[in-house]
Amino acid sequence: MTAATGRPPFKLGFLTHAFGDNPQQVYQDLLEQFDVAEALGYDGGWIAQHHLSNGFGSLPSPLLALAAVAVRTRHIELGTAVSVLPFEDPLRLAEDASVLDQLSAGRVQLGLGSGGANLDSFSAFERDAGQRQQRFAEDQQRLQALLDGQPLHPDSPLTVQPPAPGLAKRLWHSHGSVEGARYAATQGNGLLLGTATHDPLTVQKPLADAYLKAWNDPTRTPRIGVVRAVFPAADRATAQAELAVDIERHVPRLQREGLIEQAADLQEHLRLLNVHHGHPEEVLHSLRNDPSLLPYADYLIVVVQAESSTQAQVLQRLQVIAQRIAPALGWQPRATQSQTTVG
Amino acid sequence: MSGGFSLGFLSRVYQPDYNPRVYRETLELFQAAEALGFDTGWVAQHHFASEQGRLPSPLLLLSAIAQRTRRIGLGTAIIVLPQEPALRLAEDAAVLDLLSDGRVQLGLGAGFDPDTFTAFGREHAQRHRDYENNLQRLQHALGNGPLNADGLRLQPQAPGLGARLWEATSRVEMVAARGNGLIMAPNPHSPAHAGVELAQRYRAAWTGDSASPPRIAQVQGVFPLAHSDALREDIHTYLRRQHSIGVYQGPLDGDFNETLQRLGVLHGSAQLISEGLKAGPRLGEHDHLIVQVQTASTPLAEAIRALQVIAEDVAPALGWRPAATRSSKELSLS
Repeated sequence: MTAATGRPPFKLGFLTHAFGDNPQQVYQDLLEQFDVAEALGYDGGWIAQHHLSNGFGSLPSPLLALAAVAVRTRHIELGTAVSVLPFEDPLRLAEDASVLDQLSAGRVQLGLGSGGANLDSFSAFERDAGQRQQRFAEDQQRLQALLDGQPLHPDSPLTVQPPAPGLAKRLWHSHGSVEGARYAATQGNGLLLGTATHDPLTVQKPLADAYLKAWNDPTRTPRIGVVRAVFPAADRATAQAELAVDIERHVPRLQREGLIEQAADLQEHLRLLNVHHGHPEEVLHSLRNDPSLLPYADYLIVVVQAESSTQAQVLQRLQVIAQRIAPALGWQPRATQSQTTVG
Repeated sequence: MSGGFSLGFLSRVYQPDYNPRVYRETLELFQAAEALGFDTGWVAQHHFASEQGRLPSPLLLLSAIAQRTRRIGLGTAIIVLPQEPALRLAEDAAVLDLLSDGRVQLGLGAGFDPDTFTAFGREHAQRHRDYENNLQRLQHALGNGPLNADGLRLQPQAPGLGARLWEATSRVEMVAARGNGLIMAPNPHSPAHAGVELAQRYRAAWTGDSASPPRIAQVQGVFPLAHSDALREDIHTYLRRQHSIGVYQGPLDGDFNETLQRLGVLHGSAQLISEGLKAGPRLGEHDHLIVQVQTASTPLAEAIRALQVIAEDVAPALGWRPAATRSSKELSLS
C-alpha cells in the first residue's frame, strides 16, 4: 500500500454472465478469462448465476465452474454476483461454498440476490416470487450462521463440514432499495451496486450513502462493490459499433420493465445504461465522473462481455482495463503490489 | 465374471480429523488411477462429516478433478437424493458433464443416516417417497422436459447424461423399469449368493431402451496389502458407528478376518481376491467393478499401491485390460 491517503486503492474484478449459444464453449472461454485475468493481476472474477432457458446467461452453477477455476489459478478471488438465494437450499449452498473455499485456500466471495432478475423462474423451482424478500432474509441469515460454524439447530451437535473460516465475513448483498442497502449493513455484509439499469446518481448513490450510514460494526469496515459495464476500444465509434446490436436488443425489455421511457438513439441508450465506452481516455473520463463509482468502490467489478462479444474482444478489454485504465485510477495489479512489498 | 468390464474405484473421501489436503489427495488419487488405466473414479457424499466422510459436494470436487484429468469417468456413489433440490442437482450435473466432456456417471441413493435427514428438515421415514419424487424431477429436467407453464427448460442441456444415471437400491425392478444402472454392494446381512440373485432379477426386469442395455456397478472392498493396525481400528470404528444407527447388527468383536468376510471385503493375495470376485455377479462390457481400497485413515501412497495391485494383478486375471492398452490395440487394428 502506498501513502496514507485515507482510502486504500480499490480491488479490480471482472464479472461474466457467461453469454453464448454453445454452453460447452462458453465454459471453456470463461476458464480462459480467469486464467488471463489472473495473469493481468486482477483481484477477482465474479460469475452471475442464470437459470433455465430464458436466454440470459448460460451458467446455472457458478460454484461448480469456480471449482474448476480454483485448480487452474492461485490468487484470483472467486466470486458470485450473484447467487440467486431463493432457489438454493441454504444448507447445501453453505456446504458447496465451504468446499470451494477449502479447495481455493479461502478465495471465495459470495454475492447473494433475491431473484428480482429471475421472476419467471420461480414457478419452476417451486418458489413463491411474492415471498422472495422475506425468504431472502431468512435464508441469508441461516446461510451466514452455518458458514460461521454455528450448529444446524440450537440443540444439535452438527455443524456444516468442512469448516470455512472467515467465509461468513465474505458475503455480499445486491439490493435495489434503500431498506435493502441498510439491511446489508446491519448484517455486516458487503453491498454490490450497479446493474446497468439503476441510475448511478438518483438510485445507486442514495443506496451507498444509506449503507455506509447504517454500518454499525466498529471492528470491521464496510465494503462496496460497484459493477460497471466498461467497453474500451480504439475510439468511441468502434466501441459503439461493437455494442450496437446487443444494446438495441435489450431496449424492448427495458421499456417493458419501465427502465427506459421510450426508445431513443444508441447514444442515449448507452447513457441510460451507464455503459462506459470509447477510447481509454474517454473511458477514464467517464468513470471519474460516475457519481457512485470512485467515491465508494472498494471493489470495481467490470463487465466487458455483451451477448455478441467475441472471446478476443473480451480478453482485449480485460487487458486494456488492467494496463491502461485502472492504474490511472489508482489501482495496482497484484504482482506489482507484491514487488512493492518486497522492495 | 468374464472379461471386458470397466474398472473403477470409489473414494469416500474419509479423514479422521479434517484437513483440506483430503481434497487435494482425492484429486491426486484420480490422477494416479487414470495413469493406471482405471476407467472410472467415484466419490461418495457425506453431510456433517458423518462416518468421517469429508465431502458434502461431490460434483464440486469432480469439477476440480475434471481439470486435472482427461479420460477417467467421474462418478458419484452416491448422492443422497432426498436431501438435494432436484432441479439444482440437474443443473450442476449438466454443467459438470459439459466441463468434463461427457464423463459424468451420476449415482443416486436414498440415504440411511437418520441424523442427516433431521438436519435437512426431512423425514427419515419418508426418504423413499422423497427419493422417487426427486428422481422423477431430475429425469424430467435432464430429458429436456418443460419445467413450468411457460415451458422453461434446463439450461445447459447435457446430451446423454440421462442415460448415465445409477441407483443404489434393492428395489431392482424399479431401477430396471426406469432404464437406470444398478449400483450393488455386498450386504453383511445377506448370504454371498444374494448379490448374484439380485443382479439376475435386475437383468430379467430390464425394459429400458435396447440402445442402453442393463448395467451393473459392483462396489467391492478390496485390501490387497498387509493389514495394518490402522486398518483394523478403522474397520472397528466403522462397525461401531453402523451398529449405533442400526445399519449393522452383527457382532462388534471377534476375529478380524471373519469380520472382513462378513462385510464382504476381499483381502489377501491377488489370486485370492480374483477368486472372490469370480464368485460375485458376472460382469460384462456394460458393467463396472468399483473397488474401494481406503478406510478412514489410509495414507494416499498406500491407496495408490492398492490400486496398482488391482490394475496390474487382480483385474487382468478377470479379463480387464487398462484403457491405454485397449485404445492402442484398437488403433492398431484399424
